[in-house]
Amino acid sequence: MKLLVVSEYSNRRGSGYTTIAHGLVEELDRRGHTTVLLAHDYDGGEHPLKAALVSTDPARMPQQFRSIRLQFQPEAVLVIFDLTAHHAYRFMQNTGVPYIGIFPIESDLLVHPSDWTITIDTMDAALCESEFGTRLLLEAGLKARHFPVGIDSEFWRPPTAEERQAARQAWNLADRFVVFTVGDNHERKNLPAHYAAVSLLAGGAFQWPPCLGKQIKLPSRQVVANVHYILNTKRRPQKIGYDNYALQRRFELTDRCLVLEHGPKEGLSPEDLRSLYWAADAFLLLSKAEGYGLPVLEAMACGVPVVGTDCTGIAENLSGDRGYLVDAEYIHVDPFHNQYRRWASPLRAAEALSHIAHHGARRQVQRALDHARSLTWARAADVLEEALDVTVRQATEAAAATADHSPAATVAS
Amino acid sequence: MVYAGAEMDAAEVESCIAALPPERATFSIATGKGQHVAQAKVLLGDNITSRLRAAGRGNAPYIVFLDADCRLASAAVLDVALATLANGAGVVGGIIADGDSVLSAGYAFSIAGKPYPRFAGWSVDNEKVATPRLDLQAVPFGFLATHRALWRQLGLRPEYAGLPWADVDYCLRARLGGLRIAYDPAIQVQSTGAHQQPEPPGQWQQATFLLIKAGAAYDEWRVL
Repeated sequence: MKLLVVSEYSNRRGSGYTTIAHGLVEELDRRGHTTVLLAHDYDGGEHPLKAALVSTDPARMPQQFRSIRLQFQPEAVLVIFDLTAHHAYRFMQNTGVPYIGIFPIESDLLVHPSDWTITIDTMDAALCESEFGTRLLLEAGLKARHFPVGIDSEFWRPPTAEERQAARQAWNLADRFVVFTVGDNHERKNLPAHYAAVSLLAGGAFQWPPCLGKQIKLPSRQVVANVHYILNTKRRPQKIGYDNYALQRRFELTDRCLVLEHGPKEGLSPEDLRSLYWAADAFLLLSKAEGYGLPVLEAMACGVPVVGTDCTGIAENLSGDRGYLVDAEYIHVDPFHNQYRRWASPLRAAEALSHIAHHGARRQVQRALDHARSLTWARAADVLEEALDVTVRQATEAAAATADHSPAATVAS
Repeated sequence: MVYAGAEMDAAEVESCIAALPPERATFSIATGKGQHVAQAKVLLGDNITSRLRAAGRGNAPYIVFLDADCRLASAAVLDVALATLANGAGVVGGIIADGDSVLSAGYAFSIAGKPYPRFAGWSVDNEKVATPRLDLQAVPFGFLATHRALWRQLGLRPEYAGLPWADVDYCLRARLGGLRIAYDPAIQVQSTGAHQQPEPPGQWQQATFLLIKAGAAYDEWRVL
């Protein structure tokens, strides 16, 4: 089948959409589909895909889409992006080529009707990255199907003893207990809670929630004195965002933190990112909401015990004793009642990290590994192919029905 | 006929000749500086004038353009190019490389109509780079082989004097005439990059406009 895929592809840094586009297109190539991938952020560099990979941006996209649709004549368009992008690319819908969308739903509530749900409703097939998001859509009466995101378990794998030692030497970590986080500098990521949890683990004590709560601290037997925190994140945007250095000072972590801040189109290569997972003793993600939480899955596949908020996409991967879920201290809904935010308890997170440091997490790690290995791109491609079969057949039948009722056909009959 | 760039000195011309198979010694070299080199017919003038004048003379059935900073990876390169021309291609190009890294593997055309080197920066061993194609729209003068008869018929258009992509214009017009522009990775030339011509600032829009008029089509999705 001829497919036009629209997504993101950065060959210089890891990113969620790049990971999904790469894994899926590679599998589609393997199955004999012919694909053209129109990709944001692609810089023209070498890539291993058989598909043609073409750089794009919002300004060029409409013209490129029109030209490729006419010349390549794809049988379906597959767009892998967040709903803001799907909304912007609605001009690709209703062109006679079936439109299949893959997207995350980051949080409940699901307000319907809204721009986002109308965009989903007009897709020929709507594939949601999480089970909870799919459930929300179905409850709202929208047609949707769960798309099981895969992971390349050959690349994202536990290190050998030598590889782990080399990774820890490369990052100069000696015998520290390393907590690692991957997260954008985005409101949802709740970065202060991460610093708070690590500070508690190191023996810190402070009022929590700030200004309102009581003094919190871990019992001394749970403290991990040699804890070290590594955060791979984005540079603070100009107007709003977390100030990582102010947070380090506030939680007295300046001498036990490594913050890797990247510009908008910068980041670690997948190999460097993997070396951090390999070097880590625990992975921490206390987001208030997540569309899927791909770093959680990467950590699980690398054999790192994970501590994460009991919410949305994170909980799907960590439930079943595959990691440590941290309850929300409280849940708030934004002033317009559009989305919930779950504020994870730093104290509960610190306790989970302490348990990992003192007792290990062999059972959780093994279950996490089994789970990650079950999430193959072949499974994801099966779901996509089923959606393709249905939508392409429907489009063909609709075209035939239209032809039957054309003026020429009517006159002839 | 081999064209060598204007900046080439005598030693480089000698070196270029040495890289060519001796049985193909009936060639001209247009250096633009007028050096007389053994086995070479040397023509005066700037780059484009030299190419035109050089190409207009002689009787060999094929013309091969080779930039001054480029060296054939092996003598067999010319055999491949000439065989491809003999098999019906109008123009033939190959990999222009800097060590193991591709500088150009023919041109691809963006949606704005601007040509850019295919696979620049990629490894010469990449599977895509190593795939021959018969459907490119253009290949660069860095290495370009064509029929003398075609060159005499099409030549270079005067409006391209001093503008980039005169090679693209030539290829596009050959293609419009129904001829194939072939890319064969077995043709590999090594460039030192010393004589690369920077794109004249502010002129690419004019050049692109001319190329669109000449029939350039958006093709990167097809040829990458």
